[in-house]
Formats: sequence, structure tokens, C-alpha cells
Amino acid sequence: MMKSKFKFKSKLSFILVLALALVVSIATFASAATTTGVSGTVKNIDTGAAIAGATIKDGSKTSATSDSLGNYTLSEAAGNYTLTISASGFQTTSLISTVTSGVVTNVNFSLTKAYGTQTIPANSSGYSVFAWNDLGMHCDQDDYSYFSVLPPFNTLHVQIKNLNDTSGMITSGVNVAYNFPKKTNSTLHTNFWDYAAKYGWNVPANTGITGTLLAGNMQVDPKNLGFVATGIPITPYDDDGTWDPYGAANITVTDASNTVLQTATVAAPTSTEMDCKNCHGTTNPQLDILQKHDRDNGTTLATDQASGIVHQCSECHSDNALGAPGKAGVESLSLAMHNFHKDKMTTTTIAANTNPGCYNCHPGPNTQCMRGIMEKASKTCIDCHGDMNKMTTSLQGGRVAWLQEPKCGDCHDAKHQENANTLYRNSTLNNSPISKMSGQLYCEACHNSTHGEFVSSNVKDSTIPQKLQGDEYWIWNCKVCHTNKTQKQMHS
Amino acid sequence: MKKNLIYILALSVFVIFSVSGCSAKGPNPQQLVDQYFTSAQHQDYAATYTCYDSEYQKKVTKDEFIKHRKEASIVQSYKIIKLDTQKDTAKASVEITFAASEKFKRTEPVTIRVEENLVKEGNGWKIKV
Repeated sequence: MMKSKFKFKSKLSFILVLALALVVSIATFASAATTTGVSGTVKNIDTGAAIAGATIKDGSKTSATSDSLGNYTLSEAAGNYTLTISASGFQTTSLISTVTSGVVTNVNFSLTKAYGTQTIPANSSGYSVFAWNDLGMHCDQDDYSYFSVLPPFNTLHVQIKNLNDTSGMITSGVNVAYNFPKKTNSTLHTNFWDYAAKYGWNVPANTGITGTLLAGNMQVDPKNLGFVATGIPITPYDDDGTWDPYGAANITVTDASNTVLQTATVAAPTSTEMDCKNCHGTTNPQLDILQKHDRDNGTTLATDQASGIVHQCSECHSDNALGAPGKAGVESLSLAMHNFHKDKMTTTTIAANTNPGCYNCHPGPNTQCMRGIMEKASKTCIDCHGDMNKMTTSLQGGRVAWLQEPKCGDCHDAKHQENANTLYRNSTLNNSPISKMSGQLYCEACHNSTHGEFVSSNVKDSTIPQKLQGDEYWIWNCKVCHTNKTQKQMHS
Repeated sequence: MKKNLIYILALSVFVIFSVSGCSAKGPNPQQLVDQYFTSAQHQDYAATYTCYDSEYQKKVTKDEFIKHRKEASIVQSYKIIKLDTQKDTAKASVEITFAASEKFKRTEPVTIRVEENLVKEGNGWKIKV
């Protein structure tokens, strides 16, 4: 009896040990054998701290939970996945990922704190005004006496919603005026208009190349969804000489009897921080550029300039920013700049040390063009645009500069894609919870422009959500536009 | 003798307090506006830079400010037209005359009126951009 009991006990122990070994080996095998799948880290976008306990799902039954260091690993078969991550106290978000056999793809998540429960200020204001700049940054020059890359030019958009009216965005019966209280006379600090005619722009002082003034009334936009002022000739200089690349415009919406319905304040980012001097010297970088262009291309730009003839780059190099066709056989300006400079970014120590390298030419270490939520999530210029080699090869491969740009839908899920064959800046909400909202609201109205997407690290970007919503988030609360709607997902 | 000593001591204490008080206290709104435009007038843009609030100085470095300020017009003269001071903010209406300029092909000076917003920061006042 005793013997059989002992035998049974021994057998049980053996089975238990075997089971345990099996479990351990399976677990070990599983963790060691993830050679195809997705892995990454989960962080708090504001603090950079690791988030433990976040759940990452691939849309099927496969899921993973981030560990105490915020790390996670998902074993997946090769294919395309939409990864959705949720964590207590944070916004749920999704990213798409392509998994290749034998490769563990890195997908990092930066999570934004969950929405607040504050009273929504716009809900009792009668009208909500959304205002934004189209590109997130426009480049300008401190001096036009040598050449012109781009003229003073900025574009602002406005959309208006009557909270007591269930119809769409307002485009009639109102006047939308804009002005820049601190930038009323651009001629004080730029010589653009002294040379404008020589560049082929016969416009009076303080008038943009499209005829738009520093203050005036906005026009109904081409989609009849809102208002636009295209080509406002502001510079980064305030009237008193202060260099401020984030100058603010006041927007005033009035009705037919000139009663003010609503106001808003919006930044119109414009910068002259193109650091050509990093490579072309501080004495006279502009002349150095012309001389080197002449040396390498057999042009006579420097001697022309000395005799009072100045040239726009787009005379020869096509430039879709200006709608300039250029000359046949000459590289577009985007291609010429990236192609020529792609192997010269470490020519000087200062250029090599400028981080990111793009800030040597694009504004810039002080301007901080890239300041939106993408930057906060540790994305770089290169993550969306590619490096200079990729910029070059994509343009050589037929990509059209300014008209074919990085797509949100390349990383975010289908709900957050741009409209088909449409740039983000021209796209509208097309998966709203109420069908008649679709096609009404520009993506930028709620998310702001590229480079300054909400939540932006620059407070000057956040004036609209602060006023409408009482926070710095993208427009997420239904009460911003509707007095009596219950909260739903904006992208359904 | 004792009376003299007390008198000298009291005087010293008064001088020390007024000197230290003066150095610990930043400029008042009028002084700040004067400092802002006088330094620009003298093209001492490093001094102009110190007049901005910390928010601006956090975003724009002194060197970058000086580089760009040199590109802009030179202040020839200024006149404070009005100065309204509230508890923590102030607003100055100032008439600035910028000098004639070869760069801007301006043969005559030009005058413009601007509004400057001031904020209290630390012990003094600063220009808010």
C-alpha cells in the first residue's frame, strides 16, 4: 500500500516537473523565437517615461503588454497590421506596421494623456472659429538684393460653425477680417519691395505677390467650406524690429450688420532662419552662393547682381511653391538643392553639428519648425520626408515637390488617412459620426498644420484649442461645434 | 562723539539699503521701455535682448536675435506716447523713428507707432512678444 502510494506520488511529481519544464521551455522558446513580428517601447509623450501595462493589439487575438521598461514584443506572421494601443490614463491610438518574414519591426508608441473633463468654453460662445496656417512654416529672406528663393508669403485659413445651427460650416452672410497687430508694415524691415519688380512681381509695397495685403478680408475658399487669405506678405519682423517667427493674426468674424460674432488669434509662422552662412561664410553668404553657382554651372549671376540684375531661382529651376515652370532640362529647385547639397552637409563643423541637419537650410535651431505632436513623439524630419538622398531619389523618380508630400496614412490607421490623392492640407474629415459632417471640416481645422500638429510644443500654436476647448489637444470634443450632442469618436 | 557715530551708522545703513534695493529691483515699466529702445538706438542688441521676457529668450538665442536684429532697421529715435500700468502687465504706446537706410533704399527716416506689451517678471518688467 505504502509502496503504491509512494509510486503514485513519485509519478505525480514527475508529471508536475515535466509540465513545468514544458511551460518554461515554451515560454523561453516563445520569447527567444520572436524572429518575425513587432517590438518597441511605449512612452509618455510629455515626460518620456516608460509606460508599463499598456496593451498592444493587432486587430486579431494577438496582443502584448508592455513591461516595466515600456518594452513589448508581438510575434506576428508576415503581413500588414494595424496596431492599437491602450493604457489607463492615456489616449488610445493606432499605427500601421508591415511585418516582413524574419524581421522584427520596430514600432514605438508615445502616448498622450487622456482628455480632461473641463467645461468646453466654445459651447456657450455661439460661434466657433477654427483658424490655421497652411504649411506650418513659410520661409522668407532677410535680404533680396542678391537673389530670391521665396517672397514674403503666408496663408491663413478659417472655418466657422454656428453652434445653434445644424447646417454645415458658414461661408456666407459673414465677413472674416484678419490683421497682424504687431506686423503692420513689412517694408520697415525687408527690402523685398525694392526688388520685387526686378523679380517680375509688380506689386505695391506691403502687397503680396498674390495681391493680398497685411490686413484685409478673407475670401471664400475654393471648396466653399471656409475662408482663406493667400500670400499675406508678412515677415518674421514685428514693426519694432523684434524677430518673431510666430507672429499672431487676429481674426474677426462679423455679420452683415457689422456685429462681431466671434474672434480668434492664430500664428502665421514665417522665418528667415536659413543658415546658408553655416557653409557659405558669414561675410557675404549670398554672394558666395552666386559665385559658386557661376563656377559650377557657367552662369553669370554674380556679375549680373553687380550690374543690378537679380534673379529668382525659379527663373530656371521649376518651383511648385510659386507655380513657376522653370526651364526645360534644369532640375526643379527642390531637386537641385537636395541633390547638390546631399554630400556637403558635413563640409563645416557647424553644419555637421546642426541637429537635425535639415535645420541648416530649413528653419531652424531657433525657429523650431518641427514642433508638433510628431516631434514630441520623437519623430524626425527624416521619418516622414526621408534623408537628402531619399529626397533626391524620390524627386528623380518622379515625385512632384510640394504637390506630393508625406502621407499621414503611411503610418496611422485607415481612419486617419488623407482623402484619396489629396494632400493633408486639403483633406477633409470623411468618417465622421454624423454623415453630414463628412467633407465639411478640414483636417487642419482640428489638427493644425503639418509641423505644428496639436499637441504642439509651441504655445503660440495652441490658441485655437485653448479658446474653444480649454486644452491644447486637437479638436476632439463635440461640444465645440454642437450645443447638445453627446460625445462620440470624431473618426468612426 | 557717540552722536556722530550713530549718525554715521544710520547714514551707512540707509546708503547700503538704498543701493542694494536699487540693484535687486528691476526696471519699472518706463525704465524698461527706455532701456529697450535706447539700447536698440545704440545698436547694443545684446542689451536689447535682455529686455525680452523669459518665454522669448527660451525660444530665440541671444546670438540669433542679434543676427536678425542687425538685418532690421536701425532705431533713430523714439517717444513714449502713453504708458498704462496694471498690476502685472503694462502697455506702452511708442512712436519709433527708423533711420534712413541704404539696404532698404530709404532716403528719409520713417516713423511708426507701436504698442509694446510688458509683463512683470521676477523683480522687474520685461517686453512680451
